[in-house]
Amino acid sequence: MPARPSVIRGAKGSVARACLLGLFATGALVAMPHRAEAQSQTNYNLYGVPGLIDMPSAGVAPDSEIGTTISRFGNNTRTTLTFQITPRLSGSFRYSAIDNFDTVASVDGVYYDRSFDMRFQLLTEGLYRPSLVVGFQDFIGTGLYGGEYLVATKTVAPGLTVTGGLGWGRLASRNAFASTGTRPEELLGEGGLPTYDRWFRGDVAAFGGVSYSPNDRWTFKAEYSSDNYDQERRIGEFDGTSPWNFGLDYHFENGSQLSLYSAYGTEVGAQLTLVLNPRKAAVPGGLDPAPLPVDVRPRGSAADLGWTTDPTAVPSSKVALSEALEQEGLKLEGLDLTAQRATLRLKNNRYYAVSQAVGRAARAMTRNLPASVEEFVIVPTENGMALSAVTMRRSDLEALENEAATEMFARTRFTDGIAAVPPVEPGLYPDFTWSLSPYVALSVFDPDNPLRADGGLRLRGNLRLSPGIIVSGSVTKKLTGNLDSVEREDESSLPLVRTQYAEFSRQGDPAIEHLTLAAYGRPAKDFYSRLTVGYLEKMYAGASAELLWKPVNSRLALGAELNYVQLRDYDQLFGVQSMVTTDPVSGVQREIPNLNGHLSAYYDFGNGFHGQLDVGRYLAGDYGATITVDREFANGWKVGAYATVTDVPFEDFGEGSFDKGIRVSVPLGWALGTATKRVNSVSIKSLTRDGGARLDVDGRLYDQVRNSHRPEMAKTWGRFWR
Amino acid sequence: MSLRKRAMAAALVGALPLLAACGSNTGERNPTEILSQTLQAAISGGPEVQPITTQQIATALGSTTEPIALVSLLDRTNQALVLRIESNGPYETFATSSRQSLTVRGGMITATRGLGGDLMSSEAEPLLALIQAGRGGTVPYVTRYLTGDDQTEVFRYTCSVRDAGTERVAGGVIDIQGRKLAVVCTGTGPSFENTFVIDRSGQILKATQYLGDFLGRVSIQMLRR
Repeated sequence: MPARPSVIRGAKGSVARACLLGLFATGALVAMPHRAEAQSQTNYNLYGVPGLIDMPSAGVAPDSEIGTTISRFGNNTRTTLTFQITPRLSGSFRYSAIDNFDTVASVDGVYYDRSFDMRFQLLTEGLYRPSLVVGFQDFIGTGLYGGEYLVATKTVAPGLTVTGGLGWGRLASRNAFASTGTRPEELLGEGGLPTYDRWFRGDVAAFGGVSYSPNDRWTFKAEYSSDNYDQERRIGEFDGTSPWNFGLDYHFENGSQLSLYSAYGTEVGAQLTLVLNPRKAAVPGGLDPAPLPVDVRPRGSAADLGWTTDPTAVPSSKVALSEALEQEGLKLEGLDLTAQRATLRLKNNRYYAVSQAVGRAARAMTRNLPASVEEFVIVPTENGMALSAVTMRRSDLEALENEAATEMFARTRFTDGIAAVPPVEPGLYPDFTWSLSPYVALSVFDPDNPLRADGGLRLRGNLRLSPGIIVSGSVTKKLTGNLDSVEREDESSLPLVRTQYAEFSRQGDPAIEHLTLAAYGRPAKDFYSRLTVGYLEKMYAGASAELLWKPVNSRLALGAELNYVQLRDYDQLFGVQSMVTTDPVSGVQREIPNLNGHLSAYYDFGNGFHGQLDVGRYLAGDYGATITVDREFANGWKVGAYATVTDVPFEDFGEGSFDKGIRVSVPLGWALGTATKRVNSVSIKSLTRDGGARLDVDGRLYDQVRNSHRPEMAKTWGRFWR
Repeated sequence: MSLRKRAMAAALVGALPLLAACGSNTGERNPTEILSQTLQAAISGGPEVQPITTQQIATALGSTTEPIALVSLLDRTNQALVLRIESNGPYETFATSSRQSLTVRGGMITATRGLGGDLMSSEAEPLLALIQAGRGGTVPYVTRYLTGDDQTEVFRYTCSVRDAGTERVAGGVIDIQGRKLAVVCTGTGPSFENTFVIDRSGQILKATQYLGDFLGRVSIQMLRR
């Protein structure tokens, strides 16, 4: 039976319509947000936490708000990042500099210090009840700013709040009225440990103040400070004469805050706080072009199997679908077409939300596949690995296009993609891509120069021999910068696995950042694998093998990684050097072991929090574990913290006692409103030491795999119809 | 949310080492390009807006036999012509030349795509039934949007429909004195008032609807059914 024209009706129809659309050169609808959203008016203080001027208040920022504050008064400069981790819990990281403060740790009279704070809201504000917050200031580390407080704030009239609190430690250095035990002075370990031995011990003093906001723009504040700046008076040049501080805040429409202060009778201060919230995007839902709608089959057409005997029908459907997917930034890498079922091997280069990619692919399938095909199976891939098989009925797509996205989710099945995935179309590989881009490399918190940077150009190339076998390289050429001026030399009691970074930075220009051959695979159901060999990262060459177990519907994954490494030459070209390193201070020689590796467990708690535990042997041969907790958002934002404790004694690790840091991932699509898979990750760790260090190899499996699995797809499913 | 915030977010991200200047690629957009477009839009307030002329309408009507409508973003005095590109049961999807679309049912907007802050879907059947019958009354109405965190936010409303006199709808091949109905909705989202002008058969020829905080008020007027 000859095929009727109607069987590829969808394809023809869409081409005709696309042509018609081209005639409508009448422009686009430009929608820009037109209304100032009611912004939170969190008042941040000089410490970058909710507060009055120098004192904290019991104000709490909206959930997930990130406030970045730069403040200065007198000789004190403080840069603080505060994240509202949960509606009641917040954490802050601060980097401060005190001028004219001469200690052994000071550089040119400037004392640099890192500090962490935690705040927890014990009581929310009620009709008569004030908000009550307990805070731990500078609770890890050397404790210059160390202090604890209990503070209450109550709005007593519209715009008028009253705050009163009790402070310990630094916050009890003026007019203490009582005492709760003795506050120890010695440092625990090498610093960097929670100062639990001091909490709520020693003198107690009272502080408080009022703030008045006649409108959402202005706030007037006055406070009585219980901080006498004892150390700053003794060592530095602080000469405050009054406990009273006065301030004025201005809030911009976007929530940012600019403040001016009169502090301690003798100083003036200023502060700028920028706020953003991962849950508020520039353009909610994004500005991506509209998808082509579902093309509903005419009644009765599904019974028409004429096309199955037409040898041109399958190739022409494939071409039409491939072109339609191309329009969406998607790629058809394979298609199995039978009378009732189509299985698409899909490569997604554009959408962070895999559900959006799958939704667009499904609609393109309704427009380009013969009417008898009722079951759509879409297999998203990453580096050639079939990540899942998302199975839908075409009739459901037709019926539910205008319903809540949850309706479609309820009718969508997720299974392992390993058995379903169609073979790759011939002619797609090998495939070469390249890019030339600027780069910036930063080094922060070195007391000699708190912010160092290199800038230059980075040339990358990727040769895909097959979907899962990739030769990848990256070369940088520095144009300007001062990273090579790092001169600090600290004694280490470990082989120098990371602390030679300055030497690598000095000599590596141009540098091959990595040059590797990587093979990704699916050894069995629920299992994913990676093998990478070559110049793995800036400092190490060798081989890295990884195996991940992650069932498609599971929130738990387990992984194992084993690495064989060899130290690269400082010039980061072709060559390796001896694994024996010499300590710059003691002259002791130690050898870096070749083998390191980890067992990892990943768990998505399902309430926005994600945990990861890595246990194993680190680069320096130390054994231990890293625990990481992230607050994750469906749009790709992540804010997390990690800590690594190994069998290296704190005194051998050096300053900081153990490795810890925070990390933030910002999806570019969130900021720009246009779909892209790019995510910028910044990790801030206080110090680079040799203990607890891991190999920095590209292409670790977990993040590639999980985005196409059911738990992640469920979170972003609202984007299926976007 | 403001242009400034958007520009700032872009600038913040732009300050990080991510800019790809050039290269070969497949499907992935060049971030530098996106960034410069976004910054341009933020600085200039978007491309220059020109109202649609009768000449443009005539040209559009002559180029196809499909239904055509005029869409206005009322809070931004921004207009575009849309062409019906697809229908699915009672739903019809109209699109601009630059791939932005509105889905209507009986002339009422039930969804948008590609405008930003899109109305993802809505439950409008009871409301539509009252309007098409030209009757007053009180009915439920539901709208769904995506949040900045890609979660679906559902707003549930109770809407009262009342007679609001007559209004002339003239444009394209349509010129009639229609009945106007005003709909006041209150519920879990911001309250709003929508208006609909229907012809004798109950078909909505012009709908003016509030489509969320981002899009504001949008009208769609049929130029040819």
